[in-house]
Amino acid sequence: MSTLDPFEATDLFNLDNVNLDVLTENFPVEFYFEYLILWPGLFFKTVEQTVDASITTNNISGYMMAKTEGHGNDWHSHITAVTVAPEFRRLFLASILCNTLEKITDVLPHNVNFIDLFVKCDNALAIKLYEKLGYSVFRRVVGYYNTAGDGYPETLKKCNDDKDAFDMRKGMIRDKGKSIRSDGRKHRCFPHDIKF
Amino acid sequence: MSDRTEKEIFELIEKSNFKQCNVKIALLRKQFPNSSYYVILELFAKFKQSPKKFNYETELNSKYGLQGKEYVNDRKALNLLHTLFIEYSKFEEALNVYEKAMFKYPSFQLAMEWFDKSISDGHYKYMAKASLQLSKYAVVGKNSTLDKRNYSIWYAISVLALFRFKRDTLTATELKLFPMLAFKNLEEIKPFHNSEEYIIYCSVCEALFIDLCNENNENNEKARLIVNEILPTLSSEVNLNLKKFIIKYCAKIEDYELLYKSSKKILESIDDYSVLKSFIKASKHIGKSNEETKKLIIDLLGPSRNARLAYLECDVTFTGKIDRDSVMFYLEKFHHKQCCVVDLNAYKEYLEVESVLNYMSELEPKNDIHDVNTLHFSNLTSNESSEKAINLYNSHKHTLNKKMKTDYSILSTSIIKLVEESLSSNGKNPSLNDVLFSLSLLENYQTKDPHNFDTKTWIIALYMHLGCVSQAYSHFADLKIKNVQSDIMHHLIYTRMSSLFPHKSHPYIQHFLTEKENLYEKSLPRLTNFIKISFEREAYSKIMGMLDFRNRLVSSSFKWLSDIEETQLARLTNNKRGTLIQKNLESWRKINMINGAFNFSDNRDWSRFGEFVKKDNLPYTFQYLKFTDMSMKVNFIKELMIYYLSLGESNSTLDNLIQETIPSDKLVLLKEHLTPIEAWSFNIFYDLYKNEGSSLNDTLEYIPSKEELSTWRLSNYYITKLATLKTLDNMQQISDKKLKESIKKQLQELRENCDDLYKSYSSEIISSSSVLSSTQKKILNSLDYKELKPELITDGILKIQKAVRDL
Repeated sequence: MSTLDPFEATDLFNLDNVNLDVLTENFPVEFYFEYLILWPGLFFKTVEQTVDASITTNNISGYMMAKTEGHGNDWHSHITAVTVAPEFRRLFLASILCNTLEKITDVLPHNVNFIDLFVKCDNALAIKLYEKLGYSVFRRVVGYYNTAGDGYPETLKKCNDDKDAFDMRKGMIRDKGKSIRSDGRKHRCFPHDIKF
Repeated sequence: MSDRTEKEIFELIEKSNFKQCNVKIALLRKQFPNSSYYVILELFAKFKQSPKKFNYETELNSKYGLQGKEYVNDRKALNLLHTLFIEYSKFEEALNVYEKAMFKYPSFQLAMEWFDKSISDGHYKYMAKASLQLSKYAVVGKNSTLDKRNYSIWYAISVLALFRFKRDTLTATELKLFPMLAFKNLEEIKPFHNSEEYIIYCSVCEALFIDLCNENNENNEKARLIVNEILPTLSSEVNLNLKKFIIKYCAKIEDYELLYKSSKKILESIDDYSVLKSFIKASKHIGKSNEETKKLIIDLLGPSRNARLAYLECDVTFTGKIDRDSVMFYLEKFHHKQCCVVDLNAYKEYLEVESVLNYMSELEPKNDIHDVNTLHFSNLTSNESSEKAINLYNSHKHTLNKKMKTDYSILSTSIIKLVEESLSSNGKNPSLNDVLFSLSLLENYQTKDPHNFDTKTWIIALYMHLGCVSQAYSHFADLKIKNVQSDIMHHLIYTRMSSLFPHKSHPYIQHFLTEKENLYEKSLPRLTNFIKISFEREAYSKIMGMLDFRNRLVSSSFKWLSDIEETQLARLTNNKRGTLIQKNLESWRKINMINGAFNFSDNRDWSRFGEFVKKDNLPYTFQYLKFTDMSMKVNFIKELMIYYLSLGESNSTLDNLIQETIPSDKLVLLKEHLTPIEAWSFNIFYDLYKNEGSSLNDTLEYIPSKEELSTWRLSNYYITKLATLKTLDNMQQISDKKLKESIKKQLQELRENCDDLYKSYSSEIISSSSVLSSTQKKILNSLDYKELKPELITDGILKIQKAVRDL
């Protein structure tokens, strides 16, 4: 039984269930604080109320870190991280977190035009999840996940599913379909093109 | 004074070149006789030159203390005065100089500096006072970017922090006055501009009135204020903080019609179980039926997990018992999901185990998770559960080959069950065989589920129990622990590191020191500034959490543990300790400043091993982690005693600390919080510091128990004894020739025995692994697992042996 609560700085002490996962990034404290300060309403968690507090303090089953950015038509919310503890996966918690973000930012004071996120091109499971939630590929960001060793991409002609990201978007009604491209996968851009 | 001259003076102080420094200051004082800054700078240099000779009372306290009549206006002078008072742990006086300055020379900038310093010192009362001054002197566009109304909110937040963290410092009048003023100020700035302001208003009503007041009338009055204030926001925005307030206080004032409408409105936007529970409660109160409520829930949320589980809540609320149909409605979708046990456990008093098992048996697919859930619901004896765990594992082990590497298999719970059974050993301490058998189970499993962090943390703990740090680290490294996780997870390896693996160049130690620096030396000092920014950026709802986080990290018991370990390691390896001791003292002062006492915050994750490991009653195999708050204080005292012994002087701070911490009958305390050899070592230095070593001859002889010659206890015994004898050998205070010779002889004998001690332990490992019980072998065979090669352990022991033999 999941409840949605605001994320607090002290929750960082109780995230092991989620963040020990090998694919989940652990950011420096300053990064989490930046999100708490700039977008306090867009950083939230799911809490499992039925977890026995006498056994574990780790009752956070997932969390959403998001922000708003851009100007004019590009004003949107961006999902920086959405992650769920392994034992609570495949229960639609990620969907609940994404839907909640949508509900929060589709109204005042945010009123965004669309929501976007980046996902590795080879992460078929995640892409499928986001498609189910109404997201579609808007463009392919070549070399988004490049390491320092890989260097900055020099051309848009070379693709690598393990290094490239799909910029997936879901438009709100006020966006009037501007964030939807039926041929989004064919549109390519450099990482510097995605700065807002 | 130019910045350059100022820089030169501070560099001279840093280098202890006081002759030149004093000349420069004297010259400046002559040039600028009216400058208060140079007066304080001279005082500061005098203090730094000889803290012992500096007369705090006449030079500092009588002039600038709470009763002092000297007023300082200059920012730099105030800053130096603040630093000086902090050096004496006079936290009140350190900020009071700003209050006095504000009284005589009020300005917005001065109030802001006062506020900033108060955040940094965790002094919430002064934060509150400074906020009032900010509000008084702020002029938008001239000296402030924020409006006066913002500072009213700053005041309210400061009072909230004061009541939450340091309420016991308040007088009866302040307890009454501060909340009233916070509330009044907020009432005056209505209407609120955004949800952050609403949240602070609600928090003030809740924390400063409702939670503190026993009178129902006043409670309800403030609860109603919260409801009335938030209600209009429900139709325009979705805010998770405000959601909590409206649900809680609609219920408190028993306005169920409103609770029903509000929770329904919220459920139209978000799928939330606590709101669902309130909705169900309200639904009953306003006369809706069970069926009607269930239908509404599905209409609102669809058949989600929360909605299905809400059927059980509906039954409990409306009829006091749960229908089969409701359980089945939940189980049909979640019998084979991991949430099933945890969800249904919340309703266990209304559910019969037999019935649940019957329902489960009707459902398909019976995958691995379904079977594990069934096992959890079954009330089995330990023998039965071991057998079931093996059968379950074998029935589904094929899934381990099919799953994605990054997925985690539920079958780990079967293996952990077997490990727990093995280590429980019918209430006795587990033998080496039991530990080696457990490691065989876990290591075999890990190859099939490589990223499973539950089994991995078990492996780390068991290797650490055996004293094999490098093996433990090879698994720990896979977890990629970093940033704040270091504070939570590194204790699994770093506890007692200086006496388990004093190998400074080992990758683990290098990795740890880098992470330690990143978190405690780089990130932590920045947090105060982030808190300040959160005030300026109006992220009001997050400030209490940030303050709490900063305070918990400053007083983190693991931070303290790691500082003390570093100091102990430096002593063992003959490195300079003066800077480390000063750092320890600074941390100690900071904890006192932030907490108002020398108390720690234990942020270590004790939940990783479920019910098997309870922090206050650690099982035998986790005893190496037993490092309590008292263990830390005692070790701190020990290092201070050694330090001041080496300087040939006593220290009043240390004397006070000993008096506060160590009771006259210290034996019981030491036995409870230290290993026998650690207690012996403490007693030796205590005797030297307090009694000039009058009992040293008697206490020096130490004969280890059999238990201390294997597992992690061997290194702990050997290295602690070695470090103690080495320190004694270097002490000039010990002048008795016979005693000196005895110390040297013991040291030599200990070193000569090093190889034998570790070889004997290795032999014990080899013989234990060759005599796994028939049951243990049978279990390994049935799982198709191989026995752990003893060389894996003995290699680890050899690594430690090599690391310590030349110490």
